[in-house]
Amino acid sequence: MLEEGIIKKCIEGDRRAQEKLYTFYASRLHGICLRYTTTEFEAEDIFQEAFVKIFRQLANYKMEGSFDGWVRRIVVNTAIDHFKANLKKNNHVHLELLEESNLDQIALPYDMSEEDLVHVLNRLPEGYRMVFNLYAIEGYSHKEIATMLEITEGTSKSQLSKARKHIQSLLHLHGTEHGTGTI
Amino acid sequence: MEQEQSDIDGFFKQRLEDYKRKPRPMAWERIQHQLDTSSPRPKTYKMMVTYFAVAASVCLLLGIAYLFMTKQEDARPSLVLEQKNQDTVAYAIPHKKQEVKEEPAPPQTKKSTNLVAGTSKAEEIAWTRVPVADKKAVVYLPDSSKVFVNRNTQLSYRSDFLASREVELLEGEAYFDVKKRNGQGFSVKSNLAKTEVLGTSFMIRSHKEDGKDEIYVISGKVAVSSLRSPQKKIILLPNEKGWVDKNDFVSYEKIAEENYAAWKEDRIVFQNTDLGEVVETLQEYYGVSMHITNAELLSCRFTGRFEKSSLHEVLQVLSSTFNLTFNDKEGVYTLAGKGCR
Repeated sequence: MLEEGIIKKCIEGDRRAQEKLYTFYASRLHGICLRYTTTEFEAEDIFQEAFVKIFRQLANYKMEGSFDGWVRRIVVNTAIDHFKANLKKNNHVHLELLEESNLDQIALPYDMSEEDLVHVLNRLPEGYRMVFNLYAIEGYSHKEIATMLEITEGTSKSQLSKARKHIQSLLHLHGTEHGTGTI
Repeated sequence: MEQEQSDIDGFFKQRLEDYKRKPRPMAWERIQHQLDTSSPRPKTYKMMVTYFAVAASVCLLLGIAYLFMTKQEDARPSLVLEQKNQDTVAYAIPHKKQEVKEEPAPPQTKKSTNLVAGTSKAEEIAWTRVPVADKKAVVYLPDSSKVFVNRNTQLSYRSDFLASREVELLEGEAYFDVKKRNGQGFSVKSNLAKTEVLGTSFMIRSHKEDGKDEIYVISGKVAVSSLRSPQKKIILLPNEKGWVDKNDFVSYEKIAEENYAAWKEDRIVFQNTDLGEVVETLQEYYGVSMHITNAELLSCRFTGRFEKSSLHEVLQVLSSTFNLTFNDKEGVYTLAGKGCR
């Protein structure tokens, strides 16, 4: 657990307290970042940017509600900012060829490590990945996602279902590559 | 229906909601650095400090210019010893492992495509970081390859360097003189590109904001590939420049720029160059901001060569050539004049 009063010390600029807070959250927050990007470089950018924001905005944290949740939200918001910036930069649409597999027959890949599952997310087109992360893992509703990403609820829903299909075909690939899937 | 939680959702949530992975050790230092450089609180004080720091580094540049000049042919040890105070600009990084766990570093077996096999070990590589400085530096790697590092450049190398010879360049410019070592490769990962060589000289420019990594080859043969799509690979020869952009486009051409290694050679060359471009080169080389007040000045073309010159000297030459005036206000240089029609 984080020690009492550490947030206050961090606000005062106590470098040692800041380092403690950093060490406490670093792996967790870095793990979140890795789920939201294609490359580790980008994840690292988001991670650093988010942490700087955390320290800068610490004074705005109203000691109510979970601090964990507050910190996570900053990371997710930073990832969203990057996503939006990327959209602006390359507005070409990803046309991904999906191998139509029979979705009911996919077995969940219990043999895959967390690392491998993150790699599956890394391979998704950006928009799919965003919505899937926010909906399935972070637990936001389509309504909330629509606001965050400035899209319609309908788009959020369709992106989600496309994301699931895409994931399934990636898992399917995994299954056939390694002979662990039950087809 | 769309709304219902699918098995996939639950499976990923359960497995990844608390997914953790350690960031690289240098991440904390960078965060601290950012907190230091743009902390909103002690503003006036900070600005004074930066002001003097800039002034100091200009002086230092002159000093370094001298250093680079003296070493030209043979790397005399004096280069390392010349300055003993804390402004030392040339340092050999001791080949020791600090705060890192030793890896026996087997000759990296090709990563299998098997997703299941635990690949996490390979991620826990320890890196030794070259301190980021607002001045240029010469760095000797453990294999005695020499790297000229421009100011504000983020460079690190694997702590098991002799086994791996892997360097990482996250921001800035670095010029490599790579020692041949029994056919062992030497590679540099930058933001978008991977550069592989045996023994040669080349320079990499990688600024995140450019969205492009550029590799300039001075001697030898260099292989450049996209970090994300390693199958996109080209071989470069001397006087060629290759690049990888953020869409994984890989290409090359003959080097046309005169001044790509100006920071390393301490030499700027202009050949019938218009003043706009001259100013751009000066801004990058001296790390200052410059303004041209009237567009007529852009019609001026300049030919000349400066070696280890101060910005002031350069500006004086320009002003007497084109009859223009310059002034320096809070670090921004303004050029004014009638132009050259």
